[in-house]
Amino acid sequence: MTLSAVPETEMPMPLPGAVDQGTTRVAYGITHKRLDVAANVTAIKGLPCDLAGCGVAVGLGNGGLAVFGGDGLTGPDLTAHGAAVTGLAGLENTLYSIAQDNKLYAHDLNSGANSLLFSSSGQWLSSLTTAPKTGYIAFVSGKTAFVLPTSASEAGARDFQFTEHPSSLSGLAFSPDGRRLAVSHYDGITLWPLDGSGKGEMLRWKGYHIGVSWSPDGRFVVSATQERELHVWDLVSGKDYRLGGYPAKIHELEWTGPDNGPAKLVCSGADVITAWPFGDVGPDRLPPVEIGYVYSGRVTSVASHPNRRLVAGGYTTGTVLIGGLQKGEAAYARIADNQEISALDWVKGGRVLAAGTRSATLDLITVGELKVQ
Amino acid sequence: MSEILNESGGSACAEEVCQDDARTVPVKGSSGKTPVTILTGYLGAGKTTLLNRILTEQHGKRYAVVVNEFGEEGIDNELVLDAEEEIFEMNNGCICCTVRGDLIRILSGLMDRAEEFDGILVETTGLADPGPVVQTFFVDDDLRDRVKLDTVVTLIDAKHFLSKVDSQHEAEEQVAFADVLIINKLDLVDEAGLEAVKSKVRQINPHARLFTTSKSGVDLAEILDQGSFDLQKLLELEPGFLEEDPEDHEHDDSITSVSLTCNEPIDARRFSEWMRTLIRERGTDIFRSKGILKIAGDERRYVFQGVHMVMDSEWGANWENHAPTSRLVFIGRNLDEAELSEAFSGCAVAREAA
Repeated sequence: MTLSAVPETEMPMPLPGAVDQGTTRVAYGITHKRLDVAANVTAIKGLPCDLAGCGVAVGLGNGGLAVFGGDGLTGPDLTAHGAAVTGLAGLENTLYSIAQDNKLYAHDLNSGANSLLFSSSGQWLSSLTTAPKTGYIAFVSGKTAFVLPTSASEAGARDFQFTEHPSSLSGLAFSPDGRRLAVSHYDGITLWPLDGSGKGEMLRWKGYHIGVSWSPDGRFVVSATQERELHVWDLVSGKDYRLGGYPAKIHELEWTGPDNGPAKLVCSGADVITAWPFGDVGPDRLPPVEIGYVYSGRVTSVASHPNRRLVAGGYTTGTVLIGGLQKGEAAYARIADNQEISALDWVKGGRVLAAGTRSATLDLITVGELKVQ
Repeated sequence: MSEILNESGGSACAEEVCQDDARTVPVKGSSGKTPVTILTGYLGAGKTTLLNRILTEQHGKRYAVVVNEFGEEGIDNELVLDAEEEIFEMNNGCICCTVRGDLIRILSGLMDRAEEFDGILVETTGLADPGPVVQTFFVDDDLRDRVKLDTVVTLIDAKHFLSKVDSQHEAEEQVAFADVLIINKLDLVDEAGLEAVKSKVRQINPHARLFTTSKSGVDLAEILDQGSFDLQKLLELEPGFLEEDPEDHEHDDSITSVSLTCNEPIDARRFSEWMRTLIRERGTDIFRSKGILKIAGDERRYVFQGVHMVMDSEWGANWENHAPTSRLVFIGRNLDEAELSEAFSGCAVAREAA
């Protein structure tokens, strides 16, 4: 796979300004590159660092799938879909994509070849995710969750379809060992074992659950609800409880990586980036760390840094903040321009933050060494 | 900064009436939000015929269509999505806050490809209760940000309506929710039959605009892009939006409309308390409510509109040379006009001194 240069806009460096509101003043060495893409950005996935020039794949509302190097060089056009891309995921040398054309494609990042893995005439495909430990990929369509083995799976791994749900599915997550699947729907979530026993376990909480995530230690399953709350199920103690107070629905849930201290769950939905301290016992009756603050807008996308104690949040207003997970200090990485941030991901091992907007732009934000003023 | 608290309660379903400006004046300006038209009506009333007319007539607009059932008649459009009607109850203590999760999911997904169309048409099933469909647009954050509910259009089968309306609540409720009513298939009834249908329809909903046609042949300019849920537009129509109700109210459990007026300025606190109690206790029976109020101590007109227990409100322009008469309309079941009138009058400032 080769990269080629294209004309691009070099953005003036944004003010590496401190955010007030009593947060610690910090500044990052930040440089920007802004690229125009063909349509609104619907998904972003950082690619494995040894491939495609340490790049990023960008899914678009017109079905387009573009690849860029972390330095802004344009890679091959991987477009295969006929309608809005709804999800991107990566495993080893392969990028997977799903879209509103009800198709799942695998894109070989070495050859640039696309292959159609799944197609249906039913409902849109959404919630694409992968299980690195078992090599499964999974997505939902209507009331069905599909799990498919890939070349990264062990020989003889089979596929699964789970259909016994009270409503259409809204999200899914693998357990960290890749041997169970959690799906979200009306009135709770269902945990499915990937061992062929076929027995799902429904965890009930009334209302519409719009997404689900599984903690890195496997102990907690957390759903987001239409009622603007998180619902936590502690699979060890059997307790479940709510985390609330959000002004909007929580669309993004991301766990901090293993190098970043005790696990925190980083969330969109508020006017600050919220990070709930899970650690070993969970956040029951504990407050979240509130990272950054801007005077208008709310967080739409979050991305936890792969190896530093940093988190990024994109806002409805176009603001992007990068902040620390300990004290909540933050700095601007992108200045508000009313282009709503629709997707964020760290690229190039965390040296570049890719931020896509609903207004068909992609910012590649290079984050240097942290300097405290 | 909004408070992020562990285990704090959920959001309120009904927004407070007469809050201060910061919350009640939305950032609107019709900022490029995609209009959504809901087509409802009993089976055989001509919904699909109207839908196909909208899709094929030369008006230069492209539509995405969401249907809940594929009928025998095909739909002539590129972007047609089949949604299975999935109703859920909001888990926040509002007993009648039922919402359509399938619509939230599909319309949010459609807004990821918003460049492909100018408007969205939602055709409900013949048996659908329009309540959850309409409430969805009031309560979902994402939809409120990106789309605007434009108009509820209800088609009525002139020949079969009267035989259904008393026994099947959905038929009656579809009329109650409408902004535009189309009595269709005129060619199948005589003049007396049409008058009987009109009279019943007007008894349920005297405020919607009414058209009579044979083959869904209404002028599309009368049903698309009407801004029926736009509060500022409601102010423009005022005072015409409140016509007098028909006199012959039947006192049974059928749906009727009640219009109230008050010439004294309204006390914001008392009105707010009354409305909160009313929609909490009677919201299930109140399908739609609208009002324009003269609030004591404020020069601006206050306007609201509600569906069951959910409500939208904002301040409009000053009264200036309009007579400052507060007006309310309810369409609902078991409404007691005398009781509502008494309670509304009790919100007038003049009553406080008495």
